[in-house]
Amino acid sequence: MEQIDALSPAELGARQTAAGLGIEAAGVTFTVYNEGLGIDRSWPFDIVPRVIARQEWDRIEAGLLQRLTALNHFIDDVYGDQRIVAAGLVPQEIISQSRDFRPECRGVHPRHDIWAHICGSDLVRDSDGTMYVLEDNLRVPSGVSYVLENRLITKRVFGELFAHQSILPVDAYPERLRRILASLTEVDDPVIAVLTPGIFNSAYFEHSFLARAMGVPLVEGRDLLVGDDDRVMLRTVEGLVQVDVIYRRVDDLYLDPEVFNPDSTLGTPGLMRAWTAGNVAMANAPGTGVADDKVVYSYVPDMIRYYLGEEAILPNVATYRCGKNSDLAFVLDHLDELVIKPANESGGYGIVIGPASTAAELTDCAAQIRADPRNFVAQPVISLSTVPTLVGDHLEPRHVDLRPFTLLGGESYVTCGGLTRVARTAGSLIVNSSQGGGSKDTWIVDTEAGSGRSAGRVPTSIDLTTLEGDRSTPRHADPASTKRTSDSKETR
Amino acid sequence: MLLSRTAEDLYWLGRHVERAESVARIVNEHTTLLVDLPVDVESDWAALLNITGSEAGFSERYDQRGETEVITFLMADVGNPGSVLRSVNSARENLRVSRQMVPRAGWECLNRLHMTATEATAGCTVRTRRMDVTETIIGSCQQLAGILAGTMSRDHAYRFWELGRLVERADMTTRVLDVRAGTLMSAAAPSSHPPADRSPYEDVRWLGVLRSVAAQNMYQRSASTSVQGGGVVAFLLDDAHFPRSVAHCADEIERTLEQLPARTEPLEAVEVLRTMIAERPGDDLTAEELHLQVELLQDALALVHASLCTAYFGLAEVAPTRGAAATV
Repeated sequence: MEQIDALSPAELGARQTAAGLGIEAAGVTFTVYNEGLGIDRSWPFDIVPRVIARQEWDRIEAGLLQRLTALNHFIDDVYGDQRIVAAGLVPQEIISQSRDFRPECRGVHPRHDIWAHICGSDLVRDSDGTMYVLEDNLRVPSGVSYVLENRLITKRVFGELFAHQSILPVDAYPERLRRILASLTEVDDPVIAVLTPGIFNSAYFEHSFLARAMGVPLVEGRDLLVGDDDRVMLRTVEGLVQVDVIYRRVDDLYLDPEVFNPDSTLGTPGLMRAWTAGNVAMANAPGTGVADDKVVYSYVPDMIRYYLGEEAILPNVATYRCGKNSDLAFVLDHLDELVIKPANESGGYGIVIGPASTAAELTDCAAQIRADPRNFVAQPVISLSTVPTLVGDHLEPRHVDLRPFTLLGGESYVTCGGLTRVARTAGSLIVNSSQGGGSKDTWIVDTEAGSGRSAGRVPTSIDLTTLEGDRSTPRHADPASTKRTSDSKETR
Repeated sequence: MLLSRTAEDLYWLGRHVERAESVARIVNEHTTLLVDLPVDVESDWAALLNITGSEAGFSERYDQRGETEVITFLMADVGNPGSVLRSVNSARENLRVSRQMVPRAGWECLNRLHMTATEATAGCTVRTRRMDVTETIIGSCQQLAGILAGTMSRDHAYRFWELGRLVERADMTTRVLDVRAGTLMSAAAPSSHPPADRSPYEDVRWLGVLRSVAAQNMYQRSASTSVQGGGVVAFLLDDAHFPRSVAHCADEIERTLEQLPARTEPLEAVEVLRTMIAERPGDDLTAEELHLQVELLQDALALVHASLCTAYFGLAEVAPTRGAAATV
């Protein structure tokens, strides 16, 4: 940070411009939907990196793996014996009424009993320094390609900073993803494909990026064919080639017109037959969305206790379930102080932020909740932490969140850092790229290794006061990690 | 492993790029020809519509058949599936979904071509602009072909791009012969006019036929005779070495097919085409005879195209193979 602070406004501006040109030349884009037209926009990127100490990251990583492991136990249980219901922890109707509960998946046993192989959790840091899990994205989370692209650009723009820091690399992701996908089948040297809805999907850039980086074909539903023998075949110029693993970026309901939406042209008829017969593995498995329901989210700490016998390393944000009468009354009384979320939306759609809403909007919101209480939750407003962000030619604080990616299969992996999304305007809490948010490179800095490497050269050039989570002792942190956090202060 | 869909995209990329280049060239040549002809010779802009086979499409969209309308329709009208602008747009759409198959420089080159075509084709109604723009477009198409020829691996992906170009090129050569040479031959059977008696404009027009397919220099080098009807027809149909002759395209299609996973129908279709060229009745034909000949050739080319679609892009049931993907 000192090095960044030392740069003149003109220099900062020049580097931001260079980064912008790099993004355009590389064609890093995302698609915004506006009045029915998809517009390919260049990826909004802020050059000032966000820095998190490795000591804190180790704890987050453990927390993410713990969480994804428990969620997978839960999904496997939901489509199996539903022991957690029998144990009285999660009401049956919460599961059966979840929009993404798929009865078709009951009795299926994916390899390793793992259903959600790729998870993109949203983490937020509150003003007290605690890192909370805000959402578990278990359906088709996107953003990881931007983590890799952001790093490439930062390396180019701030190459000199990498010389004196031990910044953990992020580029292993595609290879780790490929290995985990390959671990989902018993076939040696399996044929893997990335299934995309097509070029009009907002994340097409990422689908194509990952397919290229893994060296596997990027396919659409019409490229696949499921025969009477329930095998999935790929149409190639050589003829039909059997596919063993599909990394699908198509939503459940569009996967297979035989089973789900009969009008879907994005999927392939028979895919579910092939999957239930065990002839093809799918990541994530169909039906994982049941654990992505925001009501189900509120039970995750209970799941961790029930399935793993552990306490959650990463806390949930307090969540009121409107389906519960006492919670409903409280929520309706305090609408203007809470964030109201539909249970089954993503991308920030349908969210009502109480303090930022008009009386009319809140009345409308209350009516929607009363009509379908099961499908709403409410949470206190988290005052997202801020990080320095380039505005014009100087730095200003902007609110951020963080989306790391966790992989689980025959092995496990957590990205070193993740996608930091940053609000564009002062005070705004909206970080979604579909709603004007930008992104930052996220550095997990090994301060111990860093000071070792630079001994006798330059003093550690990242000022630890700018590290996040250091300003106060995390409220929910376990004693061990609190100790590590204070250790890291001393290394300064 | 090459997806059938990607193979189809690359094939169409080849066809669209080749079409943009050919149409730009015939527009350029026709404009040049006009300069050589006396003002009272009717400049038949509608001939360009015949060559591109777009008479009907044009009549639906325009009332007048003047230079402005025809040039706009051929260069800048996205409502015309054969226009330069539409072909470039389509080529870009084809490559957008298959760009991982080609070197990055190829994508960038097509992007620049797309920008040029978008900005400049509408200005082609002005003759001086027209020459610059058509030459830039021809040059960009050739640049893309050069980038791919120089830096793209010779795998199946490259072969489908090549097939698209060859089929489109052979098709355009037959169309130019049919319309341009046909017009000349119906004016007067060449045998009845010894060279000395011919109108000077006839020579110019025959040169125009050659220039429409960029064949003038190579024809002169190979023929070492004056430009005359039968020789031009023979050259454009059956020269073994000129890359835009129908016979040469057929040879190249066959050679390319032999490197692809074996399918009988496309090879049979190209054999029909070759037989038809080899056993044609002669080259000093009447316009009607030539027209008939060209129609047969175009049917054969349509068969080559259709058999490629069924054999490689279609839903044809082929015996399932595991691991066949390893062989490129």
